[in-house]
Amino acid sequence: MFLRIYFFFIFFLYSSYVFSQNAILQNDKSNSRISYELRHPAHDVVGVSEELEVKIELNRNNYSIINAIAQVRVASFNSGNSNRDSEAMNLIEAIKYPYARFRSTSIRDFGDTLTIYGDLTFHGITKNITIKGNKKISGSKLIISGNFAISLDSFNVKRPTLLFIPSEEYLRFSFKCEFTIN
Amino acid sequence: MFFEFTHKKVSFWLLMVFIILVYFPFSGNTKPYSFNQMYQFDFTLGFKGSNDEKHIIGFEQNKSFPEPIFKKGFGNSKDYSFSTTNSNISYDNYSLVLFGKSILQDTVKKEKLSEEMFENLLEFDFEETAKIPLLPQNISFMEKLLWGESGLFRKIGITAELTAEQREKELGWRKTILTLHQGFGLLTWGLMAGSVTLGQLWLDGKLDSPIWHRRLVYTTVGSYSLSGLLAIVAPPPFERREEFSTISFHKLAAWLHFAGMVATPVLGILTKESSDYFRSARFHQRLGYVTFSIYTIAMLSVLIFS
Repeated sequence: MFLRIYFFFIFFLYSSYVFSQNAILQNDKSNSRISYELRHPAHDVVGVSEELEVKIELNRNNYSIINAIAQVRVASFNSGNSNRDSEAMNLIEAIKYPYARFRSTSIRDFGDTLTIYGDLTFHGITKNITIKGNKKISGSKLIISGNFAISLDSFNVKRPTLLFIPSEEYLRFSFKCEFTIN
Repeated sequence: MFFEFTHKKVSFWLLMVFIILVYFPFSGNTKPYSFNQMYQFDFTLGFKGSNDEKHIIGFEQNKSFPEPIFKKGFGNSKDYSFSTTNSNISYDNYSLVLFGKSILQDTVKKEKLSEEMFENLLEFDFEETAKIPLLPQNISFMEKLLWGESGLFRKIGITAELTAEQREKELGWRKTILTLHQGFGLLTWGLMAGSVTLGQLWLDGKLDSPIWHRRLVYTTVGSYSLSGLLAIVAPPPFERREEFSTISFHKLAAWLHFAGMVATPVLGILTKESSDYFRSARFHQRLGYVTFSIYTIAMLSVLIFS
């Protein structure tokens, strides 16, 4: 009797542990992308990377996102002009700081919209940023999209110039990442 | 007897108490929350879990109610409405219960909750370190000859062994060299415009001698050669993809105006000795205009569209 109760209790605990655990999901890189837009009075530049890596902690009960991390190789951004991209890599010292990384500190999940607070490390400097996002569940696919902007000055990045005129201070990012819910 | 104290039963119940105290607060989404009746905030609550089991996941100070937390069509969620004062919260007809403790009369200290509730322990399985190739994949023949791993400039000591630090320095040199290339390019354009103008004035009979046209041409050729040399000896870029960009166009146009810059002065020299001076001069003149036009387009393609 004692052993039965004991094992039942242990089974109950571990089954509740297994079924109550949050799922850790890694994005499908082939269906994920991040792009930046840099505005200049003469010319706006858009660069796209398809090497965005994102990992999220998902509540299985209500599909709310609890935590997230992301990283992207800065040299993977393609603006359609490798010479311009090379110049950008010089400015952000891509050899010394090859990755931009994000780690959420808190997430407000409203079901189909998200507000993600976290730390972005870029050009060797970590700053707190806020990301406004959208969340969509379609079958077994979870799609998160969003945007945020960073100040080049605050990350100590010299602004690129064209015709001796510097670009706008803010680099505007948009992203979309897709996950498969198991 | 079940209630008879034996070491097995005592250890079993101790184990149970330990698990309940330690395991449950940390299992699933639920983590221990701190309540403190001393704090009086206006706050917004966010929820996780089913309707029967609400867990507070977040709040924000000084937000006005009502604010929808979940919207329709998401799991068990529906539109929520709140009526609240600082110390009286109700949600539909549910009590907000957490671990059996009502928060109806409690308020929450933001800083502490935030730390405990959103601890992010996620890590990537493999965080890559700096494994970026130091030289571009599509390195040109000249770049490889001069700046390759065993390039000429490394052998004769102009630059050091190819390392990440050295490559960073070289990328800085590249920027300086290409800025000089741009500066001499603009100077060349001015000199070339002057040469074309003086040549036209000579042909129109408005100058007594072509000497200033020749002098300006020599200066133009010198400035042009220096500008071109700077572009050739510049270290390779960070990366070079197979694409047709403004730089590709600039380089293509460079081959054309280079041909023009060789042919036009040679034709100018030959014009002096030509039996049909005006016919040769007109050919030299047209080639000069074409070269100047191509050069202008090449320059603008980088200055405006890059």
